[in-house]
Amino acid sequence: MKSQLTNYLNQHSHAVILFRCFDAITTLMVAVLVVLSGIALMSLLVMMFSQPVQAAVSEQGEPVQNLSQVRLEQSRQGSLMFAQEGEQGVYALAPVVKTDVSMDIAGMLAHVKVEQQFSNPTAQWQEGIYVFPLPDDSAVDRLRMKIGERIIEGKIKEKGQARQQYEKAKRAGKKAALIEQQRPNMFTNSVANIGPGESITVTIHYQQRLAYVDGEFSLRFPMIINPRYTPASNESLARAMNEDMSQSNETPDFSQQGWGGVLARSDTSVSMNAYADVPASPVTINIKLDAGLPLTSISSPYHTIVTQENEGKHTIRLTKGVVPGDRDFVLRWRPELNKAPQAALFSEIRDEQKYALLMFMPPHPQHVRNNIASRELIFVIDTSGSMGGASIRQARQALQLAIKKLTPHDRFNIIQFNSYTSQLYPKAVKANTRHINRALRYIGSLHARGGTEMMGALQAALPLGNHADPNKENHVRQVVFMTDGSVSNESQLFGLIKNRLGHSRLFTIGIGSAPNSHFMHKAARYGRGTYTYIGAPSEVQEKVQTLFKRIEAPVLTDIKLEWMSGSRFVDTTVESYPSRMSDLYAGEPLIVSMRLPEKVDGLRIKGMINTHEWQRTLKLTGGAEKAGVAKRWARQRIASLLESVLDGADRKSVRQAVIKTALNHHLVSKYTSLVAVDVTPSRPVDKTLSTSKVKTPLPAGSDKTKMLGLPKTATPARVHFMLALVCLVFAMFSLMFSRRARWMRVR
Amino acid sequence: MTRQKMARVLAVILLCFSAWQFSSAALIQGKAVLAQHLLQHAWSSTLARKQPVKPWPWADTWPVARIKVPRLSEEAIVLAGAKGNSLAFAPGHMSQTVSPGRHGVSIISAHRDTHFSFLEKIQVNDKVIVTDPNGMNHVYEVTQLQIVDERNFHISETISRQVLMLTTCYPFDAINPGGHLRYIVTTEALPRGEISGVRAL
Repeated sequence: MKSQLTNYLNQHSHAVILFRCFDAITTLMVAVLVVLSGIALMSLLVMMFSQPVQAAVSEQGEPVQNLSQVRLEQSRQGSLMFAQEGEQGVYALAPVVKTDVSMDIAGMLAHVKVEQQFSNPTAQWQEGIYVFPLPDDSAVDRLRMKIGERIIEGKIKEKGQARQQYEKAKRAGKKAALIEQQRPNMFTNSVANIGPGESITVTIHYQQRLAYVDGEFSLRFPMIINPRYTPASNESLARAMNEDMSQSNETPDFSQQGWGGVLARSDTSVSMNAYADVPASPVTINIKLDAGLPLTSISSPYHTIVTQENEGKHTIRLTKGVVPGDRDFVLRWRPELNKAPQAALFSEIRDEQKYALLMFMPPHPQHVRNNIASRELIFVIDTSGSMGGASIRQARQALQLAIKKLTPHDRFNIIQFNSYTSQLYPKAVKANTRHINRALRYIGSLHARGGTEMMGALQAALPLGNHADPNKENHVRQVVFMTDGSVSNESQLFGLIKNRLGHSRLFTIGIGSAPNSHFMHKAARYGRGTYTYIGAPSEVQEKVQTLFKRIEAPVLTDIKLEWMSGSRFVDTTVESYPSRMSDLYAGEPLIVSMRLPEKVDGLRIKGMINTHEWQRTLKLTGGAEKAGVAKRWARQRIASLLESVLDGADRKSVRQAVIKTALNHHLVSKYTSLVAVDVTPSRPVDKTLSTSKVKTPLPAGSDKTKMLGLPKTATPARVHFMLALVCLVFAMFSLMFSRRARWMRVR
Repeated sequence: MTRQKMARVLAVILLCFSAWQFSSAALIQGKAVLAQHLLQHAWSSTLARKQPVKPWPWADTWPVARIKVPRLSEEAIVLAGAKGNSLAFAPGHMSQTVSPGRHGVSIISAHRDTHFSFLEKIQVNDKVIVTDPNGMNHVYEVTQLQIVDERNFHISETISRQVLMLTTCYPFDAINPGGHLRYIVTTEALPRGEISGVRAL
């Protein structure tokens, strides 16, 4: 650094002399003195002077330690506190939140009511802002605020308008509540003007679709917790990337991508295992389950539950009644073996439109694995300089894990690229012990250096004509691409993936603290695979396992839907979501939300099972009427619209379309919020609202937060200075002593 | 060797050691002060070209903003990244957080005994003016002063307001450079309308 500065100074003569002299003198001094001051003297000095220094520190540190202890102490009670107007030691407790959850499960949907009770233990008027997670695909559609005996119903508004209305009410001293979507799975509930000692109950309704994988239904309720360490999630990174690239706040939400095919994914989006040691706010859960099928089991992996059955309907509650919201609640239930549904249709008529939700299980997933003659896995790993440090270690770890998971039937190859591309084997080889051991050694020797020339690697991974080989019957080819995605020629790369994909599938794995999620998400979309983000070394195992378990056995690929009227095909476009069907893997059902024009009454699903064409025609008539199907469709439509921005759709028109759909269906979305405002002011105007002054950007208790290691920001200058002073004093003493000795001798 | 000689040798050694320590301290302080002057050049060309300009060709950091506290007549050019390399010369913007002036939480850190020693005197309602590389001024107001334990510090990912945090080590006058306490000055951008009035400052 110093030499860099000196070099810089060479070009700016005015400061050269000053700095040069300064530098030369210090360098000289350091050199001379290092020789002079022997180790013995050093230790002597340190011993002599460390005592007072330490004392000084603890003297300084004492009161502060106390402050921080107060802070820790209080956060252990699960509440938040904020320093008030810079007066150290004066803290205000934030409103406490208690949550009651009740769920109504029927068909493929769950209706969930979340009641949050905000109480204000302080003597000031408070604004409570509460951030809470909800399932990824939750459709939030209702807000009710209960003050005493009065109930105020929330209205859906464009986000900016809703915010304005809320702020206006807040200033006027009126009670108000506002639900905003921060991310598809993250919402904030703000409640203004909670009086001293008062409590306000806010009820939120949302619905979510059940997951159905391997013959088991499941539902997850993310608890109101504060994950201590949450690596920045895909969306926020993508958002950050996008913001940097386009300087725009309007960014697409990625998390809903292709959810229809990927039921398991919702389980991985919120980190569940990094729990705070603080008890989170208390939660109660009550569930009514009307499965419509005889069930063999109902279980909850993380909580103990009590189940009661009454005429095929189950009521479920927590054994403990109230639990701290410190882990996600998951409920699983399994229909009796032969009664497991192969298809289900639910419909709803809303505003004279017919909406339908179809679930369909592709045939015989259990035989699929055996049918696959061979699976070829191509691992591509980025070893460019930007992957240096923790990223390359994570990538190596993930790759080693993936290689170890290969079976002898699989074939594989490893391609690494930096400025150049090189591969382990010229062609994919059998995953026998010898090849795997060699691969593991190869992975161990990977180092990050050089540039990022991704083109060559993609060309090698997706060779021309990889789909035209007639010998590759029943052949599955999967490319797993690990990179941080720092590339500049994105569109070229997308073009290449599109043109050369053939029957291959491209799965991207984002590595490191800040991968280019936008690029990798889009690459995976063009590659008809998925994007996995690994943010921390501790996640490698879990994420890699989930991905490989899933892609082990593709069941139905290249899925297309055709609409029918009677026995004829119809040309009308039916708005069905997900708009792009992703491949189905073992145990996954096909799930489609649609709005049906009157004449459409049938659906043909076409796809490929291995290399065989497969199709099935389903009637779209009958089916159970279920409230919520239309909302489900609207939610899916919004997700699909937001995603279309990735494909280059105009942001403004997407925004308009999202707002229109959300307002029609009364849904909270990226661009719409729910707001409820009391008519009568309750806070006397002369009393100030606490949060208007004490803003709360550091909700330490119950917010999705990012752990940041704040840099060390104290220089040793003071230590140097103190040591210098002390030495000076001792030098004086020594000099005086020598003078006196001489003087005594002279005498 | 006589006792007198020994004392004289000791005195010389102690004096030299003292001088070394003095100069080390002075070097740290001097670098901090001098670098700010040298960064001016890079900052003005950043503003002129509206793109990052490295202060010297092989630098691994570049100016990203200028902060100003009118009441205390303090001013500093902020470098990208809050690691040792940049902090020696200037306050550093933590690259994991949003850029100063953007929506979200942005964090700028600096040494408590150089660039951010003035944080000790900052008060709630003080204005902090941030100039971004486009030459735009953003006026922030101090809303909160806190002391946190760095091991226990989180920022919300969901804040959409413009929040700027200035952080430094705490206590300000501690001698030992280690320690986990940080002093955090939280500021929030004033709504656009109120800015013109403040600009006069």
